[in-house]
Amino acid sequence: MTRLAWWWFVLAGGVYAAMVVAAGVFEAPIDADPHTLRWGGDRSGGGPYIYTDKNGDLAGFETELAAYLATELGLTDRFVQGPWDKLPDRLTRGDIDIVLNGYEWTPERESKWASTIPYYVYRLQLLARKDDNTIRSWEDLRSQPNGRPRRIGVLSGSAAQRYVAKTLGDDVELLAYTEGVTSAMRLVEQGQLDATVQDYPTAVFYGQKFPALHAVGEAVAPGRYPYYVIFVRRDEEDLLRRLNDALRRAISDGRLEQLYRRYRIWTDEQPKLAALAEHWPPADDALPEEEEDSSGGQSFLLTLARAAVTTVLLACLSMPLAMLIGLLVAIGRLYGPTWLNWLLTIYVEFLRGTPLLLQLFVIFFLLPALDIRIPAFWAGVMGLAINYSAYEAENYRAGFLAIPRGQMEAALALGMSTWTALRRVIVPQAVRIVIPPVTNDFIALFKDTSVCSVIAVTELTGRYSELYNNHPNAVLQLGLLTALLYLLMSYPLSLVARRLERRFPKVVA
Amino acid sequence: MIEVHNLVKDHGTLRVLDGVCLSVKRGEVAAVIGPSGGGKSTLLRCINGLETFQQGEIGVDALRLKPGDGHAALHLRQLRRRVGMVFQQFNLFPHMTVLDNVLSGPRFVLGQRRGEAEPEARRLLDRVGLGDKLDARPDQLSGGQQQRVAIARALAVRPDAILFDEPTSALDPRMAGEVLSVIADLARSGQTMIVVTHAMHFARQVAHTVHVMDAGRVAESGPPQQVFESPREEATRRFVAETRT
Repeated sequence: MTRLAWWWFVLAGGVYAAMVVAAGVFEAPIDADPHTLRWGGDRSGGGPYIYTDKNGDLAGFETELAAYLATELGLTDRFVQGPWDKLPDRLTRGDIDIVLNGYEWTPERESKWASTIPYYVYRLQLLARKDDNTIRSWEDLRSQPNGRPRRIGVLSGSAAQRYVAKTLGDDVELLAYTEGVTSAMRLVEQGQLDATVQDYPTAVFYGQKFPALHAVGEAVAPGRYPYYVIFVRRDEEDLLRRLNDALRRAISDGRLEQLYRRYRIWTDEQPKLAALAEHWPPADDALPEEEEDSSGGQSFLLTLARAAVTTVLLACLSMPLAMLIGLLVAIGRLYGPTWLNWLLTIYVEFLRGTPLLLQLFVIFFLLPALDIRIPAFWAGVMGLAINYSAYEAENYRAGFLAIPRGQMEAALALGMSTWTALRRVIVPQAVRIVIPPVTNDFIALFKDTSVCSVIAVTELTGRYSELYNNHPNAVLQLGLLTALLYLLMSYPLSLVARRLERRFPKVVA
Repeated sequence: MIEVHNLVKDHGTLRVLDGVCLSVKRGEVAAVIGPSGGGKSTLLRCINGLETFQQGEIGVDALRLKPGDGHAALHLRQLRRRVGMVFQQFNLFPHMTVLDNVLSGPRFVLGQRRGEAEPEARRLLDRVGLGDKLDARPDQLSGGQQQRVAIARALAVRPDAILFDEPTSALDPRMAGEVLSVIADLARSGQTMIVVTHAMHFARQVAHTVHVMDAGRVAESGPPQQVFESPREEATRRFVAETRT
């Protein structure tokens, strides 16, 4: 090794070490601290729970409740942001001390985490477009004026989702979003959805932001225990006790009522909180039969398998498109006029340089602003096809460039047109060269379909997430089944890839 | 049949062809010799449009090539059907068999069907001595065999003239000999050709006219006898002396 090479390694190692240190500073998880109450919530759930106000400060009735509780406990409150459906997991992991974000009490959750007395009695509110005369009540959701089931948006893993699934079942098409508040409402406004079911506070808070929507019918109680509680880890008995004491005080001295009135979410159910505080959690014999289907492994597998079909369809529909577009882009770049090369280079760099997630958001949420409405599944196919077309274009370009110039020259010298030369001489050779990277990309695409869950396409990972949220005890079973299904889909691909490589080996010109 | 008038080509700041004038009659075998870097290959590649040029004109029968970048595609295709090319690196299509290589012209350029074109293709391969290798792949052949297939491939579209760009420079003497004898055979049958070569004995024995190119110009043209034995120009003298073994 030359001396120069040796120095480069040291430099590289130094740069890496510096990055590790920087990450330690910037990405430090907020560790447990006896003087801090780390409370977990999801800002993207919006108001009136937790949101940032005009000045950029954190606001919301839960933000204020957290501040109050911390003060009562003699601690400083520290907000920790995370996706809503994963908050209890973060509690278990120890990233946060309490979950305080509109989390409904369920017997299943009680079996894994400890709950405080309820701090809010909630209802579910149905929201639809003001100018939609066909939806005047919850029952109207069963009607199918356009010959297809109503499309209803809900937050993934929420009581709204469980309620709609339970009461309306297959009469409606239920779409669950991980960012399920404002996007669902916007989609109803735009006509992509027929209605959305939100918790009452959300409906009140966003009523003005979405003037095209209105509340339909009475707010309903979604079951026997429509209560928001704070969750803590089972071993934190002292914390639980002190939180409950603080909550009881807030209930009895009217603080809580004042807070809720300020946010306009006080209802005539809230006085129940005092009585509930006496007997909490509900006694064992008062626990209902499991509200969800007591799914055994059998129906988990079926539910997941059905979602896996969506995954397969997403992947198998988008990859050929990606390959076709990619081929054309590569040909355009290499054999087209200079201005086309410029344009297509921008296309490729932009698509490769921005996240797939972002691109899906644009296609699904932003295009409707231009009056282009695309159903979720096809938006997913489009998004994946366009994103991957950039990578395929680069694969093909490299494939073409790997073919010696003499090949094109010989074809042209015979009198072939560029197009014929490409078709008969270049592309057949390039195809063999690109089989490995293209099949690799296909396998990656299969996994990337999981991103489509954010635009409410129920593919495998999204379904897993949902099932897990409702059956937190089945984590191992669900995880294994999901992994197994993914392997079942991608392993055959690897085998096919290897066979293809053997049948069409690279030929050296 | 092929006329080159005052051809000038620049490659960046380097003047590769500096006013080349050349003329080849139908049925004539022209050899182009000279030191490396003299512009011989570039000249050939300008004739069939693989390279563009800045000044001058090229004529192939009634077809004309003018200076500039944009030769009309159709125009070029017509020209290339009349004038074929055999390359130093053979450039056979590796994903096709020998027979398919020879069929590629008739099928993809002349629009013939496989059945129509096959008999002639077989005949051509027989003629270059590879009748028993129809189903072989190029990577299974020696260099000499590959070049002979390339020649058959060029002949399959029945060109009026063929350009040979140093056809034996990548071959050892024995294989070079095989190929040269095929080219000589072609010459005897009256095929118009321009051969850029370093094989002096071939130039002496087979060519009707020898052109000596040096520094982008044709230094001297004439029958092989005259050029090799009584060169008129200094450049020719120098070159011939150097190549004398």
